Amino acid sequence: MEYVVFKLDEENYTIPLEKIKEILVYSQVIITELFNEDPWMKGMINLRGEVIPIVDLRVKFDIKDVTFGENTVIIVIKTNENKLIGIIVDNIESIIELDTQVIVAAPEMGVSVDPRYLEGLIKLNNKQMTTLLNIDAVLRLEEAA
Amino acid sequence: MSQEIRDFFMEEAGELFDNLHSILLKNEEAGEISPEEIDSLFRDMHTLKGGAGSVEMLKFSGFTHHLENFMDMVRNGEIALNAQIIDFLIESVGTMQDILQEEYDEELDEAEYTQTLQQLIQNIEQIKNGRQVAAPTTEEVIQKESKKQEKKHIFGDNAAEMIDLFEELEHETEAVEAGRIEPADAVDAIFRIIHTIKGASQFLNLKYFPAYLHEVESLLDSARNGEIPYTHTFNNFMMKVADHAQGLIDQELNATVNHDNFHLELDALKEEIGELLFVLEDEKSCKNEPLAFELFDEVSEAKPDRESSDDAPAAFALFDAQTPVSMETATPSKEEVPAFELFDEQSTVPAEPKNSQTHASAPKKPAPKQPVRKKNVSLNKAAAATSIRVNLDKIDQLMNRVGDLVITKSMLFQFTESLEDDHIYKEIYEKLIDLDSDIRELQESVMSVRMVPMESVYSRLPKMVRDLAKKLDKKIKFEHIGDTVEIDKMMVEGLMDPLTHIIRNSLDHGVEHPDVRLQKGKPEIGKLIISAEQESGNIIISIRDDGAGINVDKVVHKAVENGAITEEELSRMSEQDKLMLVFHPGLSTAEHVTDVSGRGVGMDVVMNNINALGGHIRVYSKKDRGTEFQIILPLTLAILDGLNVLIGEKKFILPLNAIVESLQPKSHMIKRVGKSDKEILMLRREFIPIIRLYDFFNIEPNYEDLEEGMLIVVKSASSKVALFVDDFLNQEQIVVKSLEKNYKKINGIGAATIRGDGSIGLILDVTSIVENHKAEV
Repeated sequence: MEYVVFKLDEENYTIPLEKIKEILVYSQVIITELFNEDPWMKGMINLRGEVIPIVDLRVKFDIKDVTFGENTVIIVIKTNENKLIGIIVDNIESIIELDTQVIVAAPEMGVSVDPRYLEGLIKLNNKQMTTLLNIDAVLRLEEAA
Repeated sequence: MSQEIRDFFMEEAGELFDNLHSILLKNEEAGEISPEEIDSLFRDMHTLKGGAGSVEMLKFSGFTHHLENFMDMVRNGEIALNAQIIDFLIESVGTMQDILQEEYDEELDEAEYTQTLQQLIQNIEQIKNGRQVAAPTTEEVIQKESKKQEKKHIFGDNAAEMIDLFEELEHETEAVEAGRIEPADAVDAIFRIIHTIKGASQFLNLKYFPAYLHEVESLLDSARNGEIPYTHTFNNFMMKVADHAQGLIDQELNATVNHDNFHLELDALKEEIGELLFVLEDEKSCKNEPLAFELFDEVSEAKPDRESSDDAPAAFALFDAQTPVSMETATPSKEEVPAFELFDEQSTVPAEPKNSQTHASAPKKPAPKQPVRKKNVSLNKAAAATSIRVNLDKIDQLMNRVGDLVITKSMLFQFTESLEDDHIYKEIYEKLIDLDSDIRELQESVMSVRMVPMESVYSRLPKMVRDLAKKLDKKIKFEHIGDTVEIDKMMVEGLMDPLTHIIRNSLDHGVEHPDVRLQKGKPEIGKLIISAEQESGNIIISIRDDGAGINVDKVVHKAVENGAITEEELSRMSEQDKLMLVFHPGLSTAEHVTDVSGRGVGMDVVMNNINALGGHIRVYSKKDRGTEFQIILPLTLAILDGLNVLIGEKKFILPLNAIVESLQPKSHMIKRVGKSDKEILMLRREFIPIIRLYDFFNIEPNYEDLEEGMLIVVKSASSKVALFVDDFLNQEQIVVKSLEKNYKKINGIGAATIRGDGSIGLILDVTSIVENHKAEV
């Protein structure tokens, strides 16, 4: 299976390529702000007539000093509820081909994100570790605030 | 079986059921149904059966089969209708509908189904026996009955298979007729089907039917071996054989076939086979010139002798009134014979053969006893030619594309504003104006595709009213007006619940019992009228009854008691306001209210549903004169007129249909209630609560002083509120997009749209703003 590795702050995260519908350059979209919504809900964009909510993953993962640069992109995800939701990430690192067997269960401790969002850990070729996200869990909208 | 096709069938079935119900209910009182309508009933049942067979809903198909046969007997005059039989039909159609739904949901209970089916068969049997005069001895009857029951039972179990096979046969022959399959390629399949049917029928202990099919099978066998050609003529013949064979099975199962009349039938078949062989020979000699397809098409719809009611088996109407025309095309060589004269209908009296070829087209034997099983194929085809079924999603897609066009257009308009060259600007601007009007027209055309007549809403109501009136032991005359008024298909579903609720309330609490009505000097039979009309971009649907009316005092009393309103509020309320209290949620939850005041249960839900459709509801009532509910709906949900309003730097869209008026308030118009900071706008002696939208959305406003900004008075449900905004801008037509498709409900925002610059615009949801505001206070 193919996976996409992206970066948030100093951390690498991975999601399956098949979940991705589209990648947009952040600076080229107009986001309409919402009000009274969760702080990580950045707003709404128009993707060829579809109204799509945008989640700022950095806010969701409690990363401070959120900045937007040239490499900032929006990854549009198709969730298992068939909703299209965009996530803002710092940049896309790479696309990798992986055997699902190299995925190891995530340890209970020592991981920066909420364990509910974790699918497992992946060891990359350069000995780096990357976190495999359960992106559907991350984007589940009904979860308790 | 693809789900899509099933869904498609379910949708079609819904319409057919609507039609069935409406015919039956219309005629319930009279106790008789016109021949046209009987035909229509039969046709609908036939279509349902066939459709169900093709989507493999065999239980339903099997059940419907019996009713179809029953209708056929009615059609042929074998059974005379009366109110009781119509009642039976109404109940049975209801059962059909249940079975269909259960089978669709895959929740059909096998045992229960068999029992229901048996019950139906018994009922049909009883009705039929009711007409039989010369009854055999009791013992015989019992014996016969049990035997028949046994057969029917087996048939019930095997019905599905048989029906399936016949459907398959029909499918195959129709494909040939339509030219989708070459006749020669179909013969193998058709032979196989007939063979299988014959085999299956032997399991049913049928005596005559297999012998009949055997003849057909042999004929097909020769065709299969190439001894005779399988042509369109042959195919048409097969179509009739199939029809007739189905009729024969029914007859045999009902034991209306005996040795003598069957042999008459068999002889007729053999004779026709002979005739067919001649025709085929004839065709061959004409260098295989293809016959016109309609050679043997029946035109018996127009034939008055169709309802001939004899039980005796029919000879095939192989050569029908249309034959002469086709024969003329088929045998152009016979110039010396004036074709029309020779084959004219009158010439059914055997004409003197003029040449050797004539025997081929020899007029049929006089066959006065002729209940031809007519399938109205031509009728269905005619209907298919004028309309097609389109999935709503496709129309939505089309609508979306048009929406995109609208957006692109406004982008272009915005762009031209930046052009500096006046000349070019003017040129482009003019073209854009043309484009604009074209797009508008396109939009309207696409919209009109989504529109359906109100009939589709009404058709489900009479049955409901009837059932309810029966249950409540009341007499109601139900009328509907404005069947042709069109409404957005998307709204129909959303409208059914509120309508049902209102009607239920009117019947339950509005219209009195007959004796009470008589006491009041009113006609015994209550009236319930639903009407629809279009008025300036809205649809107004009204539901009126001539019942007891709403007891306003009781409603008010209850409202005060429940704390839904204060005495002080009450003192300011108009009569109309008081009536509107029936929609107050605080009232409807108190169950005992209904016992005294009559109305209220779930009326707040009704209002919410209507609001969700972008409409609103009003109620008028007079004691002992009746009650009227008026539902005002926008024509469509997809596009609305909106007003851009400014809060701080943010633009929002306010639906125009919610706006009552807008004004810049003066300080004396603004009151504060008690010590609270609750602000009230006093406008022409009306007190309207003010909601500061910047507070609601937590936006930094340009103005905090009410006198500097604007107040927009909007109506929501039963109340008015004044929304405070910084300013309002232009008005525009917007395409509504759901927020919930990819996100969820947002407080205060009903939907989104796409603005000229490609960004998302947010549409304010007045109802939710008011509700949230109330919750806060």
